[in-house]
Amino acid sequence: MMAIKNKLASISLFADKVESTAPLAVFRIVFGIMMFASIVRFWAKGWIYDLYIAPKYFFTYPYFEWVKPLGDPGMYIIFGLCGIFALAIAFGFFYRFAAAGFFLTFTYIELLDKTNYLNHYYFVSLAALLLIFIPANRRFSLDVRFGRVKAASLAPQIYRRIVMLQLGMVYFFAGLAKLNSDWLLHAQPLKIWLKAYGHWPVVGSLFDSNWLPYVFSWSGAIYDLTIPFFLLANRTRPFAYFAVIGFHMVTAMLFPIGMFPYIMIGATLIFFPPKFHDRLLSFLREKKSQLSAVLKSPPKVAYSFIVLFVVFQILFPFRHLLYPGEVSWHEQGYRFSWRVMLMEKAGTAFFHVKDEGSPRALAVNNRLFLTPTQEKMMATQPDMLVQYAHFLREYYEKEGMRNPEVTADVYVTLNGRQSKLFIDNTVDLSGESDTWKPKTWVLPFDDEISGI
Amino acid sequence: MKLKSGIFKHIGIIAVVLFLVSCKGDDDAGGGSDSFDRKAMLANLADNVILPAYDSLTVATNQLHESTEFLIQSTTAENIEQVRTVWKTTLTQWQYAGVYDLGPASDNGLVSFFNLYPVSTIHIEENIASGNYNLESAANINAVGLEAIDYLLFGLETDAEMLATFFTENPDHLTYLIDNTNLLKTKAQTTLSAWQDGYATTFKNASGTDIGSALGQLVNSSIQYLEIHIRDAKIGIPSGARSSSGLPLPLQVEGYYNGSVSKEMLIKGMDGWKNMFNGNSRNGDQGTGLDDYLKFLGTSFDGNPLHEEINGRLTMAANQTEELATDLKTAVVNQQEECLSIFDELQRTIVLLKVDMTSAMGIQITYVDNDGD
Repeated sequence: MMAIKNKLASISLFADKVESTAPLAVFRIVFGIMMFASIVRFWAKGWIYDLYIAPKYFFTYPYFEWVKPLGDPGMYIIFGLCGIFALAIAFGFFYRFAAAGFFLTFTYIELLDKTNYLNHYYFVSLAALLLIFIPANRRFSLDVRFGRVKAASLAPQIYRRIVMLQLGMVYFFAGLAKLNSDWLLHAQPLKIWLKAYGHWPVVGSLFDSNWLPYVFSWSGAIYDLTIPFFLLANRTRPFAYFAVIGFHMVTAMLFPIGMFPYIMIGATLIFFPPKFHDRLLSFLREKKSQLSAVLKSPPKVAYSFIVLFVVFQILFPFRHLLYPGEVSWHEQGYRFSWRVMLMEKAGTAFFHVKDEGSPRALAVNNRLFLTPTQEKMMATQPDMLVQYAHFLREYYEKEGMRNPEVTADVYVTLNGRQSKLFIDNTVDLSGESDTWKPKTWVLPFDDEISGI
Repeated sequence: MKLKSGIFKHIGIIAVVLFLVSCKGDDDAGGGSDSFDRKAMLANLADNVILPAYDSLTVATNQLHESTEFLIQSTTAENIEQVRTVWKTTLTQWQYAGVYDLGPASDNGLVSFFNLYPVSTIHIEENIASGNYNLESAANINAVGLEAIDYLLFGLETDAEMLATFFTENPDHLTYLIDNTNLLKTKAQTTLSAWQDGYATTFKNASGTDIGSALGQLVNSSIQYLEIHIRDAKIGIPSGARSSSGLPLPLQVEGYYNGSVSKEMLIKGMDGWKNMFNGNSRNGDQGTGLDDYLKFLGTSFDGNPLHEEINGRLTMAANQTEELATDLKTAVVNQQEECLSIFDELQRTIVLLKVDMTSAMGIQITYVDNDGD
């Protein structure tokens, strides 16, 4: 108990050190603009309709089954609000309210359907949560301009450090997850993905080569594991940032990962020292007239929450170790763990529903209920298979079937291995439930991916 | 620290060099010798498989339209038989052209205009009675195309002589028939022209594997076609695989009113699909197709090359169909188990295509372009 108290004390001592508020303002602006652009892009591509209005069924998250879509025009209004909040964050206008609004609308959207889970959306939610508590509007903001808050030149270091830590963890955990035999020894799945560029002029033959996937795999793993540290050290930072740009631009060209590369390129600017951000703001013609106040440290109780937040962040990605078997196969503990780019996984699921009195089962036409994207995502993720089985049971009960039994022939391939039966096709999935307990009806992987 | 920053510099340099090198990309240079020439595969598919398929379809629909128009001048039993024959030819040609549901075909809604079934005879009769219909409207999707023509040619009267008399007495029915053949003629011609006037070039040049690439679209649309229009429509639904009762639904077979083409069209449909997969032309010339790409990638299944496994399963399904004693209309009732096992064989083929093949090729199975991570 004493030790913990000391630890907390030393953290708050370190956090009491103050530095310029410029990095926070720059992060706020970059984040707000990127998010606004993401919302506009999402809208322009018609995805609001495709992903949140067109589907008849939504794969909700455990504990959040009550989160439901709002249809048309409700979803457009939510996205509109989310975009306005993002802009308000950028301009520092009713900043704290905007940050909270953005966090809530964005997280609400992400909680609607597991189909659309992306690690970078999870990162955005976490960053938005942090922003609610970070006084990033005390400089170069409309709130200051309109006198809603007092301008401040200095703030405790903790605010910048917590964002750096969050970013560092994303990279580091993504790097740890790459330390496995598929990635390092077989250069999978990059071997499959890079082949797609064999037709590029000049460099095409490189992409058909056997060695390039290894170069990419190894440099990707080393990059993820080391980049936070190189960004921290003064001597290496300029080169490291150059590498950040190079790495993310290459991934942007090769993989369909949307805004993520640009978000990371913008966000990692926070690793640069306060001086850099001061200069950036003066370059942007900031008026420094009233910059005098020094922000107080957050209350002691806040540090307990920060420690909890960080401990959770460190432990949660490792929860897959508690489940037997290969996490890429059974995907228990896969989400919210920064496991990115690790799998070329594909599957197809044939569901059968049988009336208790009927000799033959009905072969379900998934297209009646799911969008192609939902069908594809479900076919490789056991928790979604169970959810769908429950839906089918209810649906066909209403259609007049007695005690329908729902089974499925699901075939999955992982990183170039031949497809095999994914789950026990004799188990009535509608009798199973999605809990923290291991899903014993997922068949063994029958191969090994060693590593983390 | 020194060593580490050395490594780091290398990564940086590699990343940047790759970035720069891959940015410049206008001058056309051939790929390395060990690479697969996807462009050549696409060229073969376009020139020797797809264009000829549309060409034959256009010829057939032109004949079909002419033969129906000829009925206005001379409504004889002989001419009726002629139309019936050309209808079957057109349906056969369709089995080889329908699978390419991408580009102009999908823009023109070819699949929906040509061959959706069952049609609603009530809807058709309502249209005829009112005389006021737009065959291209989405509302008429169950009242047009080769299956509506099937009803008009075989569903009203079996005997050709009597049908000739019927058309003479009910000229509105003949008009509806001619309007349908005209619709198909126009649609086939439009699609063929679009391919000839530029889409073939677009197709050949989109040689990547992303969602928008020719291969990405071809793989996605052809698998979808196999699932919906071959597996489900031709055999799955009629044999009762999709019904809660498990009972066969003979009314749902292709060419129901003709009553003796559905078995043949299932076999032809699979044959047309195999031509696409193998890059083969109708006269049997073996060109470069998806099979050769899989061969290049070295993908195997249960120790055999994947493309052989896929061809084997399709051949198996075709053989099982061949062995059915009668047309599907009767077979789904009398030999339901056999029909369901054809359905199962196609299910297993779809696993190989949708899971193993697309994964080996790095093609995303999705019809919505979306971010991944």
